[in-house]
Amino acid sequence: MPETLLEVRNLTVNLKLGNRQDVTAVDGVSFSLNRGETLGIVGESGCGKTLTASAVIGLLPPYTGYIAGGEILFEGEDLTKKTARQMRAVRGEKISMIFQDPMSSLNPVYRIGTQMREALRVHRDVTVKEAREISAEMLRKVGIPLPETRLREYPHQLSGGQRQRVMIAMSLLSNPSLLIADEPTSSLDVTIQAQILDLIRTLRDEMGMSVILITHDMGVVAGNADKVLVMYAGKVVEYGTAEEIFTNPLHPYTQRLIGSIPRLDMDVEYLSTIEGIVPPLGQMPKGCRFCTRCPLHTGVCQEEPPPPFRIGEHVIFCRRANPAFAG
Amino acid sequence: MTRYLYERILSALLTMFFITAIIYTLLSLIQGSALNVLGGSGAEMSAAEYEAARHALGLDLPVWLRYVHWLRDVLRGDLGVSYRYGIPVGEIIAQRLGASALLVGAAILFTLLFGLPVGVMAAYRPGSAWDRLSSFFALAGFSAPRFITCIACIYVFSFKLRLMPAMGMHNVGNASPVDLIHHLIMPSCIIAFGAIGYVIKQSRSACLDVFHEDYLKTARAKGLSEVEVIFKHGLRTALAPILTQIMVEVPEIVGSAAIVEKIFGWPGIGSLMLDAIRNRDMPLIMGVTLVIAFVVLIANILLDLAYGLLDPRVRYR
Amino acid sequence: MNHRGFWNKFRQSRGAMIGLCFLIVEALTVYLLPAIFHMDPISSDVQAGFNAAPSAAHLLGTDGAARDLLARTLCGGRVSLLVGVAAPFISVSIGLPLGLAAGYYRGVVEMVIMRLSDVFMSFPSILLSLILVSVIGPSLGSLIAVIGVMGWTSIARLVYANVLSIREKEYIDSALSIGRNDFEILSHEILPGVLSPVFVSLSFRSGSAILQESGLSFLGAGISPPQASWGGIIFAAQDLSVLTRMPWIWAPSGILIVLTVVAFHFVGQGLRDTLDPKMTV
Repeated sequence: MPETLLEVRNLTVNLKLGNRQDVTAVDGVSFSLNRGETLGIVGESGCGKTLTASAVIGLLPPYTGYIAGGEILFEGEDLTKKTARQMRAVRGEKISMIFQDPMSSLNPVYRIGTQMREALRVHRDVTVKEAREISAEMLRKVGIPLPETRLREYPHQLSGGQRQRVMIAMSLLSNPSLLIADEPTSSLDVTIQAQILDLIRTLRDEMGMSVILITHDMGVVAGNADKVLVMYAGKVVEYGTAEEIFTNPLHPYTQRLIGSIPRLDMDVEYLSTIEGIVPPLGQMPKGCRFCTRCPLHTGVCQEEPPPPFRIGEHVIFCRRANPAFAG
Repeated sequence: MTRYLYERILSALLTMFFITAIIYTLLSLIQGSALNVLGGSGAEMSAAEYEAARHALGLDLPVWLRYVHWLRDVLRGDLGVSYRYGIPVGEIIAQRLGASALLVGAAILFTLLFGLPVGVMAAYRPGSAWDRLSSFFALAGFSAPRFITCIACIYVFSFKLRLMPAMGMHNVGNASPVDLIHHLIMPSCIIAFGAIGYVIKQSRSACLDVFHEDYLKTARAKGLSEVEVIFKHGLRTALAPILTQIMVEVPEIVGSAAIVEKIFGWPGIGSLMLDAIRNRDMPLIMGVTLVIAFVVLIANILLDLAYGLLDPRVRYR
Repeated sequence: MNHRGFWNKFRQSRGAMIGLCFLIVEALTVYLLPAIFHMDPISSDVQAGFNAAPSAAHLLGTDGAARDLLARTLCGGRVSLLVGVAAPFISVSIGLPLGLAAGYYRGVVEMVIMRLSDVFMSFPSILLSLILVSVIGPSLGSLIAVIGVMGWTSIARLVYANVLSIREKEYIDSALSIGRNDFEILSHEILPGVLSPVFVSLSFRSGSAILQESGLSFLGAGISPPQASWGGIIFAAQDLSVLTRMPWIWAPSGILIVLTVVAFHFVGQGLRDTLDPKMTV
C-alpha cells in the first residue's frame, strides 16, 4: 500500500475583489496524492487549477487570495493551520514549484549560480563553495552541459529549454517530497516539451518525490500522470486514476478534453472543440457549472449542482454518469 | 559596452558644448549692461574710455570668436576673472563647490532613501491607504514651489519651534560636523521633498511592472521572506529603469538647490549663479554654467555605467 | 467619445471636478472682485502704515510700500492664471511640430531635434529661464514667452513617443501604399492620435508654468514692480523679519500658488482617466 503524501479535503479558495464581495475561485476541491506518484490537474485557464496548487504551497496572490475552508494534509500536518513563517520553512524545502515561462521565472539580474545558492541557503547552512558544487551536480543531473560555466551565466544567455532545466534543478536542490509544475512546458517548443516532461518523470522516480502537473493539455497528462483531476470553473468535475479517466471518461467535459488531443494514430478530419466560454466568477449558474456549454444538459442540471457519482476511487460530478439517472 | 561608453562621453561633450554656446550667445546680447556693472554705479565713462574698456574685455570681437577664445581659455584651465569680484572665477567656484556638493549630495541621498521604499511599498499594494498617502505626499512635493517650502519651514521650524537654524552652514565660531549636519538637514530635506514625488512615482510604476513577474513567485517558492522577495528581487530588478528615470531629475534638483541656497544663505555655487545672473557677471555665469553642465553630464555617464552593472542584459549587448 | 459622453465620464472624477470648480471660482474672483470694488493694488496707503497687519481697511494687511495686499494678491492671481493658461500653448506650438517631425521623419531630423531637447533638459530650467528673462527684460509677455519656450521639450518628447508608437501600426503603411503624401498622413492619421495626450498634458503644463512663474518672480525676474504677482509678493519674505514676524504678507499667496497647482494637477488627472487611464503624460 503506497503511502499518502498529500491529502486535500474540501479546499475552498476565495479571492477579494476590491470593494465587491469576495468570490469563490476554488470550490470544495478534494484529492490525494501518494509518494512517488504524479497527479495531473487539467482544465482551461481560469478554472482554478493554479490557485489550487498555489494554496498547497502557500503562494496564493498576496492580499487577494485566501483559503476559506478545507484541509491540506501534507505528511500528516494540516498546512492551512500553519503560520506564514512556518509555511516559508516548508516552501522550497519540502514543496517546490516551477512555473510556465522559464524566461520570466528566473530573475534576469542575478547569475544562475547566485539564484541557486540563494535557494540552498534559505534552508541550509552551506559555504559558497559547497553551494557551487551542489548546484553544479544538480545541473548535471538535469542534463545541462558544462554546469560550472552555466553557473556564472545570466538567464538571458540560456535557451528556453535550458532555463526550464535550471528551474527544475533549482527547485530540486533541497530534495523536496513534492514538486508542483505549473504548465512547465506550455511556452516551449514541442520537441523540448517532451524532453522536459521526460526529465520530470525520470527525476521523480530517481528522487522518489511526488509531482503535481498542472496543464490545460490532456495530451501532456497522458503518459505522465498516475491520477487525473479535471477542473471546471473552480470545481472538480472528474477525478480518478489516469487509466480510468482515459479509458472511461464519464463527464462530458472530460470527454471533450480528451477528444481535443491531436492523435497520430487516428485519421480524423477535425479535432473536437468545446463550444462557448467559461462563465465569469460570480456569475456561476445555480446548478452544474458546465450546463451552459453541455450538449447533454437537462432541466435539473440548471437547478441543482450534480451529486458526486463514485465508482471506486473514480468520482464524477455529472448526473449522466449515473446509469440510474433518467434525464 | 566600451564603444557605447565612448559614444556617451562624446555626446556628453557635445551637449556641454551646445549649452555653453547657447548661454554664451544669450549673455552676449546683454553684454552692454555688464560693462555698466563693471564701470561701477554712477561713474560716468567717456566714449573713448567706454571703447577702451570694450576693447580690453574683447567685447568688440564677434560673438563666435569670443566664444572660441573663451573655450580656448577654458581648455587651458582659465575661466577668466569675475567682473564683479575681480578675482579668478576658478577660485570663487572652488571655494563654494564643496558646500553645494554636500547639499545636493545629501538631498539626493534623502530622496532615494525615502522615495524608493515608499514607492516600492505603494506598488506592493496598489490602491491601499499607504499607496494613497504616498501619492498625496508626492503631489504635495510636486506642487509646492521650493521657495514656499523654504519659507514655511523656516517659519515653523526655525522661528516658531526653534529647532533648526535658518541661515548658513555653521554657527559663528563653530565648525563641528554636528553643527554642519544640523544646518544641512532642513535645506537638503526641502530639496529632497521637491524631488521625492518623482522618485515615488517612478519606483512605483517600475515595481508594478516587476511585481507581476514570475521570478518573484520563484523567490517566494524558494522560501524567502517577503522582505527579501520585495527588496532583493523586486526593487533590485526595478532599480536600473528607476535610476535612469531619476537622472532626468538631476538638473532640476540642481536648479532647486540654487533657490534653497539663496534663501538659506548657503554658500554654494547655486546662489553664486543667481547673484552672477543678477549682476550680469558674464565670466562667472559661464564658469558656473560649465561646472553645472559638467556635473550633470558626469552624473549621466555614471548612471549609464550603473545601469550596465545593475542590468546584465545591457552589459552583454 | 462624443462631448456628452466625455463630460459625463469626466464628471465622475471627484478630484477633477473639485479642481475645476476651484479654478473657475478663482478666475472669477481675481478678475471680477478688484473691478467691482475698485481695488487699487498700486497706490500706497501711508496712513495704514508699511507692512501693516490685517485690519478692516486692509483685510490682508499692507506690504512694504503700504499697498493693499488683498488687491495685490487678487491681481497677482491674474498674472499666475494668465501665465498658466498662455505658456502651455506656446510650448505646444513649438513642441508639437518638432515632435511630429522627429517621430515621423526619423534620421537626421530626429537626431537634431532630440539632441537639442537633451541639451535643454540637461541644464536647470530655472537658471536658463533667468538668463533668458535677463536678455529680453522682465515683463508679463516675456515671462509667458520664456516659460512657454522652456516647456517645448516635454511636449516634443511626449509627441515623439506617441508618433513612434502610432507609426508602428499598419494603417500608416496602408495610407502610404495608397499614395497619400506626408502631410496628409501626418494630419489625418498621426495627429489625431497625438492630440489627446497633448490635451491632457496642457493641464499639467499649466501647473508647472505657474510654478516657474512664481519662482522667477520670487527671484526678482518676474513682471516688473509695481505690478503684483504671487511670487513677487513672497519676494518680500527674503527679508528675515518679514519672514518671521509678518506671515500675513507671504502666506496667502503661497497657499494660493500651491492650491492652484494642485487644482490643475487634479484636472489633468481627471482628463487622463477620462480619455485613457493608461496614458503616460
